[in-house]
Formats: sequence, C-alpha cells, structure tokens
Amino acid sequence: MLTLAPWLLTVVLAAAPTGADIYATACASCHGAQQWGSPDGPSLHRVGMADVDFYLMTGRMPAAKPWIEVAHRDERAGQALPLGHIRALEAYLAPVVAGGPPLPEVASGNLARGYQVYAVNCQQCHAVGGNGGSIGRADWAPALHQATINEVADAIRAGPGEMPRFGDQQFTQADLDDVAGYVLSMQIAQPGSGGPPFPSTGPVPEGALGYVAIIVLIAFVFGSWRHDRKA
Amino acid sequence: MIVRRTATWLDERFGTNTFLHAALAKIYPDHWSFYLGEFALYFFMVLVGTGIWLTFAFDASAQGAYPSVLALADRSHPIGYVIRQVHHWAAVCFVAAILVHMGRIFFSGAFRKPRELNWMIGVCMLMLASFTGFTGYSLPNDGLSGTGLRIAYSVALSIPLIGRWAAGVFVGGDDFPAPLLTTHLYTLHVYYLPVTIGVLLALHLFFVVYQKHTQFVRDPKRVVGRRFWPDYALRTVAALGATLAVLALMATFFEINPVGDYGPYRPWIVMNGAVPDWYAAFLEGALRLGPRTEFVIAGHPIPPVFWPGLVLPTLTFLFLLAWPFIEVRVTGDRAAHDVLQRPSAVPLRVAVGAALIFEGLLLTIAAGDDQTAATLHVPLDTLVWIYRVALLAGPFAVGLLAARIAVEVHVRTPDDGPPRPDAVVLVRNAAGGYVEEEVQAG
Repeated sequence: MLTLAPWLLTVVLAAAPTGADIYATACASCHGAQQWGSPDGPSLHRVGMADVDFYLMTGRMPAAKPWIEVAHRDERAGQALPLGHIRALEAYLAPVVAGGPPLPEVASGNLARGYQVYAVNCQQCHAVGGNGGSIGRADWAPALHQATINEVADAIRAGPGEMPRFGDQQFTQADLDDVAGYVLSMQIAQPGSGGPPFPSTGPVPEGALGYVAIIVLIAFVFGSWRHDRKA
Repeated sequence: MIVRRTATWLDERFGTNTFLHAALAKIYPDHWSFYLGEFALYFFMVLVGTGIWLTFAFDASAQGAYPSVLALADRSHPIGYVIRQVHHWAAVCFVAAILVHMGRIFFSGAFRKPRELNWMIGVCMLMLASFTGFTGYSLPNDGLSGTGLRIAYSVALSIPLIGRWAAGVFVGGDDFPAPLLTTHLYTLHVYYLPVTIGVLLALHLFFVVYQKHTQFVRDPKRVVGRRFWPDYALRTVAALGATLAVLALMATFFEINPVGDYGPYRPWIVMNGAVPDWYAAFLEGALRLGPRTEFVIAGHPIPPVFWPGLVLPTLTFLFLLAWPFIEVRVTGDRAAHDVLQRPSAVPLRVAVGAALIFEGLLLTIAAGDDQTAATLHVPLDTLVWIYRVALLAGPFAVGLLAARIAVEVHVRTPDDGPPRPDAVVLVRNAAGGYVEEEVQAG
C-alpha cells in the first residue's frame, strides 16, 4: 500500500544502509535534505525523539503522500521500516531533533490510578475502552487496541497531530507509567465475572442487536403461521 | 382432574363457568402480525419480573447506586449480572417491539373508528416505555448515563419561562447533579411509570377484547380465526417461549451497558462516542443536527436545544396521537371499520408512515454521526450537512416514492384482498356429538 514504496526502496538499498542513506531515500523528499522541511513536510529540528519514534514505530512515517492524515482513527498498519532501519534513522536524526521531548522511559504502573488519569485526560478523544473516535471537523483520535506501551508513552510526551502534548508539568513519570499500563490493560479481554463473552461496543450496536432479536421473533411467528396455513 | 376440581371450586363461589365457557371458546383472528403486540407484552412482563428481582439488589442513593450495580457481578449474586443483562436487553427489545407493533397497527388501519382511543393509549405507552427506559439506565449513575441526564437537564432548562423550575423538579434540586436525583429516578422508574404503563396496558387489552380484534378477513359480521383454547393459547405460549429464549441467548452471549467500563458519573469526565440507548437516540441526533441559532422572543432568549430537544418530540407525539383524526379529515372516511386494510390501499398513510420512519431512522443514525464520520473517513461537518439536507428533503422524496409504490402495488392486487384463512366450524355428526372441521373458506 502506502508503505510499499519505502519497503521496496529499503530492500533495494545496500545490505546495511546507514541512517543517512535511509533518510535520503525515505524522508528527504518531504522533510528536506537538511531536515528543515519543504512545502510537503514539516521541519524536524527540535521536534524531540519521542515524536520521531512515535511516527516511525507506528508506521505513520514514511508516508507516501505529503501531509497525509496521520492522526487516524484506524489502527495503523504497523511499522513500515524494519526495526534496524528505524534505530539507524533515529541515531542519525538525534542531533537534529534534540531539544524536544526525549524518548520516554515507561513501565506498566498502577492500573487503578491509570484508569483515573485516562478518564480525566484521554477519554474525551480516545473514548471508553480505547475505541477512539471523531474529534472535530476532519480529525480522528485513533483506537488504541494495538498500541505498544512505548508508542503510548511516545504519543503522550510528543503530542502528535491534534493530540495535546503531556509534558513533565502535566504527567509525572508515575502518571505516565500508570496511564500507559492502563491503556495496555484495555487491550486484554477481561474475563468477566461470569460476564458474557461478547463485550459491548456501545449503545449503537446494542440497539442494532435489539432489532435483530425482533426480526428473529418475527421470522418465528411468520414461519409458524405460514406452516399452520399450509397444514 | 385438578383443573376440573379447581374450576368447580371457583364456580361454586364466583360463578366463573359461564365466563370460562365464553372465554375459552372465544375466536381470535389469526395472522402472524398479530403477535407483535404480544411480544411487547412479554418483554414488559420480563422487565417487571427481572426488575422486581433487581430492586432487592439496588441501592437507590446517589453514592450507593453505582457500587450496588457493580456488586451484581460479585460471587454473592450468582445470577445477578445475567438478570441485569436480561433486564436491559428486554428494555431495548421492548421499545423496538412496540414500534414494530405500532407500525402494523398503522399500516393496516387498525386505529380507525371505533379504535382511536386504543391507538392513543398505545402511543402514550410508547412514550412512557421510552421514558422508563431512560430513567432505568440512568439509575446506575455511571459516566455514560450521567452525561445523558446532564443533556436532559439542560434541555429542561431551555424551556422558556418555566425552565429552571421544570429542571429543578426533574432532578430534585437546584443544580445538577442534585443529591436526590437517583432517588427521584428510582421512584419514577420502579413505581410511577410501570404502574401507569400497567394500567394503560390493562385498558389497552380490555378494549381489544371488548371491541374485538380486527381481522384481515373481509367479513364484517363474523370474527374468523382460532379458538382461544387450545389453538390460540398454545400459540401465544409459544410466542412467550420464543421471547424468553431470545432474551436468554442475548443476555448470555452479548454484553450490554458495561457500567464497569464507564466508571461512576463525575461531572468533569466525558467520553467520546457517548450516545443514549437507541430509543432516545433520535433526540440526540436532533440535537446534533439542530441549528445553533438562539432566537429571542419577547426579550427571552431561547437556547437552541429547546427546538430539537423538546419541541420536535412533543410535536411528533401529538401528531402520532392525533393521526386517526387527521386521516379521517383528509380521506373523509368516517365509517367504523373492523376489517383491516392492506397497506397499499391507502397511499397517503403509506407515504406518511414511510416519511416518519425515514425521519426517525435518520435522526437515530445521526446520533452516532461522529462514529459514522470516523468510519467512513468523511469530515464530520460534511456529514452533518448531508444529514440536515436529508432531514428536510428526505421525507417528501420518501413519501412520494412510497405513495407511488403503494398505488402500483394496489393496482396489481386482486380486489378481494388476501385469501381467507382456514375457519374452524362445529359440525354435528350422525351420533349427535360435535366435531370441529377445518373449512377452507373461499
């Protein structure tokens, strides 16, 4: 798809391309040879490693189209570049992007506290259960069902796209650990205490299922009635 | 044996045998669509039954409501969570069944003289059922329903002149959330509303029996159908069984309203994608599509939510209530009718019904416009404008199309309507006894 071109390019490249090679092939056409940007892509100076890591690890970058909608409700397809290339690229860009939010450390924290932090700070956009949703005219907060804990921490510290940046003044390291751990816990299907196996995805699908039930009942009485008439 | 002795015992004290003879032999017209009202009835019975069970587990205070609902999932209530799931699913299905039943009554002309009053009672029950559902799912005081209550409070506030008073009565206090709100909702949901529905339901059924059920068979003098015992009684028990089976399957396999995920209601916490249960969703859609204009009438500013939130549902309710009389005015048909019509016989009714269904569906879908926009990758603003245009122009287009189709269908159907179903006739045989014969009536 969109990520096919960089794949092809990186495969065509030499066995162990340097960060500079990768940047020249996959990034420079939009972000400029010296990372100052172009009409097709923003400057990378002082954006912070958290930002770079987020975009690369989630596969939003390299983007085939300039200024492509990067904050999307859908789960992204997964990292477009191999991990080795991403690390090389990050090493190459490190001096340029320094000054912004650095790569965060994160480890899963207290889930109960994480729920509190999520409810107050994240739920307005990412919805209950991390289902994501619309956040205005043409923007969407993505679903969080496939995010890794590092991607979550990156996004929180970097604030990509429309997402606000939660820096050290907004979230302490403990807050970060708690909420990132909670986001991951939402991905695990909770064995309900005797709860039904198919979890609810909101009142909209629930209403639809109610009508399915009515249709089933109508089919039952209609079929029986027709059967009676023929008998 | 036991049945006979019981019947004799009752007859000796109350003289019930004459009533029983008439009741058990009573003929009920037979058509599959006549079971729709029964489905609504059975859903209501399940709601009352499971609801009574839940009142023993629920703490009707603002602080205790949410923990008491979560506690249903504990080991101490072995089937608590399932009962709660059945209750909520039954509520979702109850209003759906009422709507479908109302559609059958509407399109087959069963509301015409002499049954206008019964129609109005039914429309009232639809409104009451929706309101009961709304108060019910607001009882757990969770994040999702609390958001909906806040919206309802704001809509109440928007009423000109009496808004603040009306809103205060609704929530039981000066502000939202008032300390007595959960208690108010509880008494409404557990007592006033179900009792009112019950009384209206009893009247509704009494009128059906007293005025006799309408039928498709074109015989204005005789009721053609099946006897209550054993034909109809067993069939209606089968319908009850189907209802219970469907509810049991739904509650077992599909989770509904996971309040544990929504958290307790906190006024400062919101969630993306918050919508009410489906039967209130048309109001949410109306609010989302309604214009931002704030009119000022005689120096009083009218908040924009007043028009889609209150005026629209009130006008819809009044229109539905008055429909039998509106139709008489337009068609000039003032005769009494016990025979049902095929829907295509009255294109006006088909047009109006189709337009109403279209509007209702559109507003319901509009309630989730942000999710739709995100799924379809359409900007939300664009989608809102598409819905607005469809809301204004759609009913005319749909109504005209539906009327056209009705006319064409009616022209192509034979004049004497659907074939009469089998009749059950008592025939005296040579030995002097009576036997039932199924007669293929012409």
